Amino acid sequence: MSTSSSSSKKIVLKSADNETFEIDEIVALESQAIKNMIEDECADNVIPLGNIDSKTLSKIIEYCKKHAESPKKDDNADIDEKAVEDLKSFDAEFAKVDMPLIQDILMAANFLNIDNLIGLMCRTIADRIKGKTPEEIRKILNINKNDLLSPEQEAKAREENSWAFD
Amino acid sequence: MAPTKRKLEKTNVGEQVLDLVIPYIRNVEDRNPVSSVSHKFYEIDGITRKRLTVHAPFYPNPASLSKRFPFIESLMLKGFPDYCVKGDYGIRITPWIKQLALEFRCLKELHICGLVVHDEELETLARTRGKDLRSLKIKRCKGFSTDGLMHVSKYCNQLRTLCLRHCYKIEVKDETWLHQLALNSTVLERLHVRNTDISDVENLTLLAKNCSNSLISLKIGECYLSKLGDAFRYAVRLEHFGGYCDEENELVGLFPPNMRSLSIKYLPIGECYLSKLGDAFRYAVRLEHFGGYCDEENELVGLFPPNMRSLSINASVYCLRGVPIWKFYILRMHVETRDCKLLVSFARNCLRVNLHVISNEAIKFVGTHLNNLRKFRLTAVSQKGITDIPLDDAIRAILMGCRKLERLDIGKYGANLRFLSLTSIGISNAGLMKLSEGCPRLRKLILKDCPFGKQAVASIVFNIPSLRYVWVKDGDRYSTGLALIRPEFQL
Repeated sequence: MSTSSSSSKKIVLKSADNETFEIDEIVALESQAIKNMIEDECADNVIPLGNIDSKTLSKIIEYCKKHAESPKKDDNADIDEKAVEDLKSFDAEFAKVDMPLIQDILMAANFLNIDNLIGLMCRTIADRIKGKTPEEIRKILNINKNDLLSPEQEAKAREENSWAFD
Repeated sequence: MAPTKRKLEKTNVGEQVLDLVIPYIRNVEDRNPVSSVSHKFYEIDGITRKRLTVHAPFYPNPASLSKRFPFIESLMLKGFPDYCVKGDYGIRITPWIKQLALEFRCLKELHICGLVVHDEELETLARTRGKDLRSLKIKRCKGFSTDGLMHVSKYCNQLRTLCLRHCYKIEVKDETWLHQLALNSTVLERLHVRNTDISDVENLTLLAKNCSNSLISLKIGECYLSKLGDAFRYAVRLEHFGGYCDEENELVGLFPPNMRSLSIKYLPIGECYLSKLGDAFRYAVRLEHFGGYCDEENELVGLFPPNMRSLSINASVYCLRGVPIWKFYILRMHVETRDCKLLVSFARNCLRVNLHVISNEAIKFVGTHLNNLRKFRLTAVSQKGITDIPLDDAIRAILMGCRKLERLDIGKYGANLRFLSLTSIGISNAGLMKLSEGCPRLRKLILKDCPFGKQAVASIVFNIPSLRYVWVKDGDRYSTGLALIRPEFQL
């Protein structure tokens, strides 16, 4: 058997545009979906990710690497605070990308089931939407114009919102 | 070709992500614009909203509400504010209760505020939604009696919270409803019936016994502490108590071990009693909050346990000499102008301060020194009910100093202000206009004895689209008692 030590074991991911990424198993374990595949011993060959392009996938790997490397919460109370701070600023930097990529990362993270990353992307999108008008939100999220409310419906919604609902 | 296809995918993604993102947009003010982005957004917002506040006077159509938000779990129904309603006039809750009985099947919390509620409506509510209700709060409502509450006791046996706040007009026919509540409840966590006549010791004790594993907060009417020994012994998890105090009894060992907050109306005067209370507090090591009415002669130094962080008290600042107020984050007390500097000198960390009768200079002092302030209440009324103190400067100082303020911000610094009450404050019409430009989120405006022209008041209504209630009182005349403002009606 070729399973030497778990830290050196490699997992190979293949993106939609046929690029392969070799990563440490520990990094791949950040994804609950891949973890399940490994546990079910379905991850010996290349794992094809047909709905994730290489640009998105490399961002996701960057995120998983950082999070896999940083000490987990209850390891040691002393390093805790510094590590948490460090991770926070990494996350903040990580989220500074344009909206289409954020959405791609979110959908991919959802597919791969990476909880922290889903949360980070959702918070980022939510923060960019907050305090914006419907028109601005449509622009930010590139919403299909065919699905807009009719002017009457929109007026009614606005009317209800502003007078009746806190 | 790739580009067009790509674009189409993006469009879909924009709406797929919404399913994931929407739980992260909790604030209603952010939710509202989201709901009008597209059909899909409207739909997702509708089915994911769990909490809602409805201003019944503006929304007379409960059926359409349940259609738009079918899965509401927590509903707050608000009527007119107190000061808008004279005598027996008010909005009845009837159509809402009818709809609640039919729809709103996920409802777990109902909070009713400022509406007319009759016994039969409590009955309908209790019979239909009662078994699922976890929280029922009735505040500033009238029209019902203990007969109506009896139905609540009978059917709502999963209640965690029952609050009757400021319902001064509950017709108390007998205490059987409380007895029934005590018999039927095993999971009640909060019973708040202060300012009512609900105070029967036997039934409270029975309730404490049956809910000994759940009861954490008990606020009751005029039932003295000394009689509650048995109730306290049963309610081992009790953390909050509000009630009355008498001089009779030993207090040491009275409070349950987890007691964190204690509000006592009318603290008896005298060193003897206070030292009894102090002894009792030494065992209540988790006590963080104390509230009550205090005589000027009471010296409170040494009374409070070391964890105290919050004090809401009706007393002179001089009662507090030596008390380490600087450690507190909430301080509510009425302070005379002459005491203000003294207060500020030791209250600089406080987030909430209520001050009463105050000068320009004193307010400036607060603005400069209490930078953590979140809520500030100010009443400037002289003996005659009219003052001509121009407080503009002082209020500017508050606003510049206390940027975290949520209540009573004014003028161009008041972007977060929702509620503003001005009493006898003599700023000019021009000042009022400035104010309207600076408070884009204002919802309620009360002007008492303020020298603004009608024209000026009318025009600010158009400047602040979020404004819902304006109430103007001038001397003894209740002029324009209530103005419901819906600019749409004018169009």
